[in-house]
Amino acid sequence: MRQTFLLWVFLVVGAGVALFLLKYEVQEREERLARLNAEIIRNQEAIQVLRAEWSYLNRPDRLAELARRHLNLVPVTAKTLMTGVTALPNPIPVVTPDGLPLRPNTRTNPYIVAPMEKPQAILASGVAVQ
Amino acid sequence: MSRLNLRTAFKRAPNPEAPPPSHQVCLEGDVKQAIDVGRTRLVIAAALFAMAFGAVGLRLADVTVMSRGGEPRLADAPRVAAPIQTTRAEILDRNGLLLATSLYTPSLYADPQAVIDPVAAARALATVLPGISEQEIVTKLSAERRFVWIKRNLTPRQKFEINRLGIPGFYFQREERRVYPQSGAAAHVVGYTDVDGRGIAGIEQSFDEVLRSGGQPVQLSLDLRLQHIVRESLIESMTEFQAIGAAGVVLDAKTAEVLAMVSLPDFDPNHAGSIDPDAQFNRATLGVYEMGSTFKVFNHAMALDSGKVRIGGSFDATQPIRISRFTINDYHPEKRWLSVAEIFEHSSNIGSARMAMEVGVNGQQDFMKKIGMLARLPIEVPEAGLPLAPSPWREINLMTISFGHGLSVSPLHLVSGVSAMVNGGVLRPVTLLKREAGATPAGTRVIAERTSEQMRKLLRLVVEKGTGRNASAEGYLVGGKTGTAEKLSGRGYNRKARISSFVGAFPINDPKYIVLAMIDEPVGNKRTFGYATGGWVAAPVVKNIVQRMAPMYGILPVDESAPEIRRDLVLDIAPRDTQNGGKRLASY
Repeated sequence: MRQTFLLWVFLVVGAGVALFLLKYEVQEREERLARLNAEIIRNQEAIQVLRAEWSYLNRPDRLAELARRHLNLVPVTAKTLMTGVTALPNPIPVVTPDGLPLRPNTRTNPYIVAPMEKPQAILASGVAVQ
Repeated sequence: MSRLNLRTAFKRAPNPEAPPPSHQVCLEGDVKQAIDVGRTRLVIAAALFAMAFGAVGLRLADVTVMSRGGEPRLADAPRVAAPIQTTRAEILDRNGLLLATSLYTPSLYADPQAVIDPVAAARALATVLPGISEQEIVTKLSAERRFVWIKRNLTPRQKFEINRLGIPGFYFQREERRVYPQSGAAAHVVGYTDVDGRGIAGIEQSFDEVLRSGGQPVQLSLDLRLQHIVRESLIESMTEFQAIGAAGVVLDAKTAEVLAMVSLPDFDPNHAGSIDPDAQFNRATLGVYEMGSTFKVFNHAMALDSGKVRIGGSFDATQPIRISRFTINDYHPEKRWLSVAEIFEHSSNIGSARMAMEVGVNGQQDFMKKIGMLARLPIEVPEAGLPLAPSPWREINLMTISFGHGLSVSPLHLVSGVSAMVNGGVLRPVTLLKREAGATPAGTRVIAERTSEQMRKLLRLVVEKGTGRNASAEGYLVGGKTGTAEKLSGRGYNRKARISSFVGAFPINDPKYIVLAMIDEPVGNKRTFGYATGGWVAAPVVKNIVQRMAPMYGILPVDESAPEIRRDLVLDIAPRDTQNGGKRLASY
C-alpha cells in the first residue's frame, strides 16, 4: 500500500514537472518562432530596399558614366565586330632566326610558337629601356 | 447516526500475527451502511477519475509517441511568416530590373513637449537630415501640439543616424512609399501614383487593381538598356536642334512588343507632385500628329497591294496638283515623270497623291481602317490617343492623307503600321507587356507577302539613295522613310514649326526591329545647312540607336555590298511597263 502510494506520488510529481518543462519549452519555441517570423519580415524588407538600391545603382546612365570613367573600352561598332573566320588577318609566317621557314609538325603539335623576328626595345612611357 | 471513532475505525490490526480479518472494523447497523454507501461512492468517483486520466494519458501517448513518431516526412513550416505585405506589386522591365516598387520607409515625427532642448536637438538633426534646415526644425518643435512631422520617408541610413543621436521625444512611423529607382527612364510608360498609392498614370493606372492585390509583379516588354539608348539619343538631338519635344519607339517586328518608348521632356515619378503638364504629356501614345511623308509607306503599300498600281509604273509629277483652293507641291520638285520607286525615294507628294487617286477614297479609308489608323491603339497605358480622321472623307483628304496630312495618328500607330508593312504583311496588336518567349500572337493579314517584300526594297532604297541616307548605320541594313510635317497652328500650317521624323526597320532583309524617332519643332543649324527635316534631324537619331542596339541584340553586321544581299534588296528604279495609259519615260 505504501509503495503504491509512493509510486503514485512519484508519477504525479513526475508528470507535473514534465508538463511544466514541456510547457516552458513550447512557450520558448513559440517565442522563437515569432522572433524568426519577425526577422524574416525584417529581412524581406531589407531585401526589398536592397533590390531597389541595386536597381538604382544599375541605372544605365550611371553604368555608362562609370564605364566611361574607369574602363578603357568603347562601344562596339560594326567595324570592330568580326563576323567570321575569313575576317581574321593572315597568319604571320613562321620563320626561324636563320631565315628558314619552319614547317609545323602536324604529327605531334600543329601549333608552333613563332620565334620573334628581331629583339625589340620595349617602350615604357616614351623612353626606350634596354 | 451514532458517533464514529475514525481513529479506531481505520487503525491497523495491532497484532500482525493475527489472521487478517476480512474487515478491520466491525460495525453494525446504520454505521456500516453509511460507510458502505460512502465507499461505493468513492469507488465510483475514483473509477471516473481513473478513466478521465486514463483517457488523457492515452491521448498524450497517442499524440506524442504513436502518431507522427520520428521526424516529419514533409518539411512543413508552421505558420510561415506572411510574405511581406506591400500593398502594391512591383513593375519590372523585360530583364527583371525594377521599374517601380513599394518600400516601407520610416518617417520621423516628434512630440515637442517631450523634447528637452529643441535647439540642441534641431542642430543635431540638421546634420543628419539634408534638405531641412536647423531653423525649420526649431519652428516645428516650438509648436503647441503633441505631434509634428519632422521629415517623411527617410532612408535606412538616416534612421540609423537619428537613432544613434539618441534624442528623446523623436519617434518613427512606418509608411509605405512607391519608389521608382530608374527615375525618369520609363516615366511615361510606368506612370506614377498619388499620395494614397493609387495609380493615376501609365501602367500604374491601368494595372491598378492587379498591382494593388499585391501578387505577382507586372513585367513590361521594355528593355531598360534600350530605353536608355533611345532617350539619350533623343536628348542629344533635342539639344542640338533646340526642339521642344521628342518621341522615340523601338518595336519588336515579330512579336509587336514595345522594347523602348520615350517621350521627352519627361519627369521623375518619384516627385509626382511637381510634374510639369508638358512633361507629363505622352507624345508617343497620347499625342496625335500629322506624320507627314512617313505615311507614304502606307500609301505605297496600299497602292501596290490593291493591284491598281504596279511597282514598275510611273506617274506625272511635272506640275503641282491644284484642287479647289489647295496646291499640292513637292519639297524637292523633280518636275518630271517619276516611277513608283522614285516617288518613294524622292518623297514626292504629287506622285503619292496620284497613286492614291488610283485607289480611291473608299479604298484608302478601308485600308487605313484595316491597319488600325482610325481607332485607338489597344495599348496597355490609359494614355492612348484617338486618331483624328477627316469626316467627310473627300477627294482632297484622299490626296493629303497620301502624304501624311489630314489624318493625325500617334507615333505608336505609325510604328505599329510600319511593322505590319515590313514583317510580311501581318498586323499584330502592340503590347507593353512581355510576351512568353516564342509566343507570337496571331495577327491579321493586311497586305500580301509580296507587297511587304516590295515595301522592304523601297524602304532600303530611301536609305541607300534617297532622303534617308543619314540613317544608314553601315552593316545593319537600315531601311526607312523620312517625314517632315508642318504643324497646324490656328487655321493654317506653320512653316517654321515642324515635326521631323524617321521610321526605320532593320535588318531590312528580315526586319527584326522597327525604330522611330520624332523631333518636335527642331531648328536647323549650321551643320545641317539650316535644314530641320526628318532626313537631317531624325534619321541620324535612328542611325545612332541602331548602331548602339544592334551589338546588344546580337545582330551581326553584314557586308552591304555583298551580291546576295544586293540581289534581295535592290529595286529596279526605272519604270518598265506601259501601265497608266502609255505615259512613260517622257521626260527621262
